[in-house]
Amino acid sequence: MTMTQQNIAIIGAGIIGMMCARTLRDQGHTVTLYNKDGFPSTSSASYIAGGMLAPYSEIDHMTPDFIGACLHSIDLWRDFIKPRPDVHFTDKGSLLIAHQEDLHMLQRFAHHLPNDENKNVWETLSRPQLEDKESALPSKFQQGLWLKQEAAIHPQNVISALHDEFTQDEGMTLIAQSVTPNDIAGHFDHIIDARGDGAMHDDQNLRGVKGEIAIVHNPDVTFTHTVRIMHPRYPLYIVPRRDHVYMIGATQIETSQDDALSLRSAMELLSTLYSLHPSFADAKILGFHTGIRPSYSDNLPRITQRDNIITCNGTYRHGILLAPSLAEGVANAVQGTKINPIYTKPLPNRTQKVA
Amino acid sequence: MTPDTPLIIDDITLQSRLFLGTAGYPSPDILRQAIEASNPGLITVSLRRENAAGKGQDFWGIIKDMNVPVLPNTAGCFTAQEAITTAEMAREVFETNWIKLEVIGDDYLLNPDPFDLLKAAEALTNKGFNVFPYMTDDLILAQRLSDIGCKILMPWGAPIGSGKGLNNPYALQTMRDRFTGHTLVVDAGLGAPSHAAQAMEMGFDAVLLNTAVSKAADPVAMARAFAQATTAGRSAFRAGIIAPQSSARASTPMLDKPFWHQG
Repeated sequence: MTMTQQNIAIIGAGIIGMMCARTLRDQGHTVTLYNKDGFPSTSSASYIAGGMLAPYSEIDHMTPDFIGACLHSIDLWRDFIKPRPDVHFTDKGSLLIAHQEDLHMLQRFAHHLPNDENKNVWETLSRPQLEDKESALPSKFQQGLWLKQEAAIHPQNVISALHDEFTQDEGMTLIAQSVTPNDIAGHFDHIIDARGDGAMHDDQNLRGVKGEIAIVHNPDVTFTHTVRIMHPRYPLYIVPRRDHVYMIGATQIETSQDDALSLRSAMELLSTLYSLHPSFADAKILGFHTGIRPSYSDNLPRITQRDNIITCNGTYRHGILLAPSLAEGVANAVQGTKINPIYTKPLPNRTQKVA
Repeated sequence: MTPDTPLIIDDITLQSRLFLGTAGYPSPDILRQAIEASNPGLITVSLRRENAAGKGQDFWGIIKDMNVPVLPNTAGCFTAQEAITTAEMAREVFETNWIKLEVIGDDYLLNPDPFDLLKAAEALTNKGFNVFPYMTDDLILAQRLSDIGCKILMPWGAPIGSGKGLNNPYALQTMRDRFTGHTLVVDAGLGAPSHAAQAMEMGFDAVLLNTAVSKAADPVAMARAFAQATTAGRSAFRAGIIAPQSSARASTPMLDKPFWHQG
């Protein structure tokens, strides 16, 4: 297909803006990237995200028609990292475990997974099988689930790598300035609005869902899989990064206020780490971070078009997971070709119940 | 049979006898659909974990849009004082003097603490709240709560979120039989719609549940199923359930058999 080169502006340099910029640049367009607080963006929700590429673990947080796009996205990430060895990526699958008192949650969760007789997607692991995957797991974890097709990527590595490429690319312009699509309308063939929670003032359908994470360094133990510990309120993942650094998160609180994390959240995150392995008692805390996940009321992302403005938002818990696929969708919108219909569903009505 | 009278609390006529919690749904939109599908008489919300302030479309906006009476709760409180403070905050935020009083005594099983519950219930009743106490099925506790002015009692079926159903039907039936003038609600522990039906068949005025719906594979369909079961159980209670007996009794005279085999 032949394409005309377009002059495109992207607002927002979180994972969605960056991946859209990369996809459109690779297609030969001229890209101007705006970000309200400079580059690389450190204030976006994605910068502190865990980077779990875990559609099955998140099956309660999306509709089944998203699984295909998620798996496609993981393949796109796999292609993405090939020429970028500095980006930490693992695809050994996720382990789901539960404390003895919470085993029912693991069983309940398994009921929500797809039927998988050939065990291509997931299987139940006995204690020896669990030990085989993660020898450090204490013996109190007697069973688990292995979600084989899941992966993890370090979002900060992705954003740094793309930032380095963009600054060396003459076809790209980076502008540290807070703009809205209307501010720059008329200057570009297309404007991509990827502002995430920064668009909440303009879009009444968006709400914020706060997430809080901790990063620790623990040289005394080695985990190589993403581990999810079943927790009554929200999915808590421990994601191993390079050099014995571990991310744990994230909480999920219905608020748009991006203030410091609460003592309760800090205790929950840290005690979960400690309960995973006692050596975390001596781990060094590298930082706590909070972010606001931009979300629509069904927690599903959207790509919408109005004149020459294309909006991609509402990624909720799934910004990193779906970024390559959403960037493809946005590129399709730029070209006027078909977008995956899961991204263009109408927003749910806030219909009032008849009393 | 005369038509059923609706449940009325403080002059507010409730649309049904199913009370639904709002925590832990896959999304606010699924919660909205579950509420629309099940038409609950009231919905409970927790003040502690979430923050009422926020930009854009927040969770409270969605709750308030539903036009269903809201019963704020004190989930996550471990002492009477904590629960009282939370109740007062909830009264401001939700502009209601209703409060589902939860004072938790055990971190893991989330057992209600009967002693601090009574203390908090008395203080809140004196402050003009209508207290809906989440309680164990103990008869004396029910009596004490009644003595300090509680007209609504909400004994547990089983521990919160356990889905075990009615662990002690004897205690629940005894409470129902003793407190005939009170509004009695089985709160917590229900897992299957049949559990809701069972409580309603025993003559409870309503059932309150959350996890059984929010964590079902299809919360909207499960909400509908609970609504149907609650209605079925209520109808059965009013229709008069036959007393069980040990010997079989054919319901139809068997015309194809010689009559001397009958009787």
